[in-house]
Amino acid sequence: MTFKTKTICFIILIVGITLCGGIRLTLATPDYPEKPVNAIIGYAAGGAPDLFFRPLADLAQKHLGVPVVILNKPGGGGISATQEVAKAKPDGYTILMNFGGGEHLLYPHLEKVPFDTLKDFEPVIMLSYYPSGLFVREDSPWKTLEEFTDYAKKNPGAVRYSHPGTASMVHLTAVAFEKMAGISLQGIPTGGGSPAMNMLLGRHVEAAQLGVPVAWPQVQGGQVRCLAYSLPKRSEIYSGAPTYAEKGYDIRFAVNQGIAAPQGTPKEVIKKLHDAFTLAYKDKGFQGTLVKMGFSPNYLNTEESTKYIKEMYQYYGDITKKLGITIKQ
Amino acid sequence: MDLLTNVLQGFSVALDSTNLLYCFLGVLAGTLIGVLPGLGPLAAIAFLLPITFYIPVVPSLIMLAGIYYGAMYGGSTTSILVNIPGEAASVVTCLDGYQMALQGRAGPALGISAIGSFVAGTFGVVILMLLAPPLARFALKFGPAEFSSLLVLALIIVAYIGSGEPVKAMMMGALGLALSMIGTDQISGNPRFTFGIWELVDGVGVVPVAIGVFGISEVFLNVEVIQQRQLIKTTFKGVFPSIQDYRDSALPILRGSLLGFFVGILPGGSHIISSFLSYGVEKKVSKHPEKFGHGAIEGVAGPESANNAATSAAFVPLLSLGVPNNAVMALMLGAIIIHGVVPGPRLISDQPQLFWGVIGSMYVGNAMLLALNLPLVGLWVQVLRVPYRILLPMILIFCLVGVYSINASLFEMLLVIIFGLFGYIMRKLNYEMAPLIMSVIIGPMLETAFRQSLLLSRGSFSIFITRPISAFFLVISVVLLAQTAVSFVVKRIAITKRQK
Amino acid sequence: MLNIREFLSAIVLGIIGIILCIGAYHVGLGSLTNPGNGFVPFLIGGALTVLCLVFLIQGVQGRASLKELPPFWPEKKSKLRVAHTLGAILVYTLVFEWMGFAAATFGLFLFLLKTIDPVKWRSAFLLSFFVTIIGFLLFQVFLKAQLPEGWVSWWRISRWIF
Repeated sequence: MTFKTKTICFIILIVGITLCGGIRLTLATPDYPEKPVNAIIGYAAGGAPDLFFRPLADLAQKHLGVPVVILNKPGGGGISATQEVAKAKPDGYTILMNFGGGEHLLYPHLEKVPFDTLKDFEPVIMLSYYPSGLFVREDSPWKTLEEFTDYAKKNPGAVRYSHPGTASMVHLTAVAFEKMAGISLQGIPTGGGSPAMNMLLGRHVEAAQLGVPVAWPQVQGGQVRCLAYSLPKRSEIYSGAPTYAEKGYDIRFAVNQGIAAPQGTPKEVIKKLHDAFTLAYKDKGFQGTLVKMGFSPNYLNTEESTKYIKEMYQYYGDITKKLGITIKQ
Repeated sequence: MDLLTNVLQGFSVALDSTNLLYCFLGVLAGTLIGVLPGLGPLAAIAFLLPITFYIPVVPSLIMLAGIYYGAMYGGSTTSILVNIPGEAASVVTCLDGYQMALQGRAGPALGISAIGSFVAGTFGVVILMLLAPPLARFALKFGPAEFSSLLVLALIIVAYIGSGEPVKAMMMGALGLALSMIGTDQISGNPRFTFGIWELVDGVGVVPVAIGVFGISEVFLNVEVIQQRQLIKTTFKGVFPSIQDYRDSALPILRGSLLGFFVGILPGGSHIISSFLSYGVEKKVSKHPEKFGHGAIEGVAGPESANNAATSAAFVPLLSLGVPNNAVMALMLGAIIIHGVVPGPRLISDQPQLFWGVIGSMYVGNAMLLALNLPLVGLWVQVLRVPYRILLPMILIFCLVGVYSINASLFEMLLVIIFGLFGYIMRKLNYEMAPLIMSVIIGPMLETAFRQSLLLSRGSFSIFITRPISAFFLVISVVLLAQTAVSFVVKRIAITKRQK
Repeated sequence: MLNIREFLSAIVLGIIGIILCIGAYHVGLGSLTNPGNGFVPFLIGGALTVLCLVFLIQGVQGRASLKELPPFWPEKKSKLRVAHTLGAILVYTLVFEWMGFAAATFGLFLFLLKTIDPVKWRSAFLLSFFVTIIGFLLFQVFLKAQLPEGWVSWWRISRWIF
């Protein structure tokens, strides 16, 4: 072998050893956290959950001391990611973001899902939520919810509304409303909030049921009007529009932004996570972004979150049974 | 003159040094990403979106936009050189571009592709600048019925695209439609044909199929004859397009730009469909359609222009209405929102420096891309000199890892391999893959639009005919079909007469 | 006349069409005014089957599609090479998340370089190493994609170095 070849081999050897140094050896694990935390989001990169949780994760990193790595694992409307975290080791290094969405609280009452929202998860913190609402164009003859229901009662099946997708939280808000008000509407499923909004703006449908953040820019721009939205009481974020509740309908369908860890995660670990994310959440810049995106703040600490999740899960179970909401086969 | 002041303001924003830098970074990144098979602008923008949280909104959009249309420039590179689409919209460029490369004309192909992209992109920006709001309002008129009819037309063109036997192309088209039925259908929300496999609930997805059927199968085909292939690729007949090439490409570029822009403003309108439609149109109006599929430069010029025009057009609904057209625009919307800008019809008036700045940067970006890509043609052509035994494994890794990284999905990586094997066998049996891809894309869109139309019309089929735009597309479809049928019958009569 | 390959492939595709029709029927066709989930798939399956039949009939009528058939496997060793490549990438997929991007890619590249068109060991090692590094820089650093770590933990390396 020539000198040059020997040098090359030597270099490769050194680099190889360096790499091996990186290979994981199991050492006694002292304090939490001592390696990066994987935060799983069940939706594709760049979507609305990303816009919320990525800045939050960046802020939390500073308080936690280790990187909080966001991993996008889309599939089945958030269900496959949920399942993955449910089965993960409860050591605090795998957590679920976007906990408290329709797939966790509402969908399990309609279809079998491969996880148990109450038993498989320990809620860490709740941050915000957003409701869905009934929207019409600003040149529509219905200025209030009553006018809308009056017309719908006299013309069953005549009013067509677009919505982001069958069995989504948004869609089922409309279905619940239909049943409560005793009216019959024609739902037109689309592939998301934007196509549904397009259909409304293009005058293809008379109304639309949309997640409020998606529609809010259009409301502010004066193109559409909100007849009602599904929060228990009015939020300053969505000014000028009434809630279903004040009109007499107990509809509290909202998509929550929360964080959960697998069942069995040690209490100290959860506390550390909670504290880090609370500090991140309280950051002024983040609060500003939140509001601008159309999310309504709803901070709940660990205990309150657990209670809240139980309550809401129960609420959805009750209301789907009472109104007879099912997924039509 | 309002328009002039706005444009000048736009340029002053675009030529600001920070924005210029971000524009350059965007188009460079976009080109690189476009070149990598498997990753398209959607994945790239999604990954890089978080970076834009820390910079102001104007440079963010400028960079993201640059990535988007940059990818359209770069996507054709691998299509031409190794018959593997850099991203889904460049599938069509493989058809004739690669053939040109085999004939030693990779340089002209790459060159015309860059030039066409520049012309179309700039053209698109001009129209965007002048007519954004009225165009957006027009685009809104496209409802489910209009879409169904347009997609029916597209489907008919699919069968026409093949350079081999029509019936085989149609069989692949039907098979593609069948594949697209796997997954949850949008109307009922229920999964279909998933065979109990959880990962199939969201369907097979265009990217795994496209990369598998074009990319992996190409690798297999090359692996078979690896020694021979090495020899073919080293003859060059000039690195730049000839005068004849320019002449041949002029009209296709023009038509491609118009077609691409029109399709691009429609909601859900994608650059993939516009490039396919452009190919079909070029083949139809050409004086020598039989050359298509064997190295006709029109088949590169038209589609490449179309997909770039569509890219500029996609900004129309986003900037003038605040409603995104396709997945990439949805990401841009996210970027806008998170910077605190309210999207919507007032964006242009409330934030003129944003709107005009982005427009100005698009001019600048297109020019940068032309300047980047033309000299690179010489460099890219050298890539052909890399020995296949090194190139092929690299392609495999980039394809597989690329697809994995989009959704962190091992299953999709497996799908790529399965479709690769499938594509390999079918290509050996002389079936073309282009119709398959296009119908995989069209299938779900067509079914959803069709069923939505019937829901809107409460079961009445008249909706397709009473709405004028929809009727227009249907009429063209019928005319096309009639034409083909007539010519087929005439040919058969001629054959039987000769046999007598 | 049709050659045997096209005949078989058309039959297989036709069968797929029929299976699709049957499956669609089970899912539910609905009515013409209110199509069910199986409506469109049924039409597609039908179209596929019909097209295959047309193709077969055309073949029988003497419209041959190819002049002379090239052999299916052009070179003696091509079957082996394709099989090796296919096997390699399948294994790659299986071990990818376990071994991690770096280790798996390195191994795959090494294997392919030695089997498809053999490269000397020294060059093979160097090339595999460089391609792995380039891949890492491209995907993980530049694009910020999420690649599995597996055996080579970058987090630990960077902590170890810095």
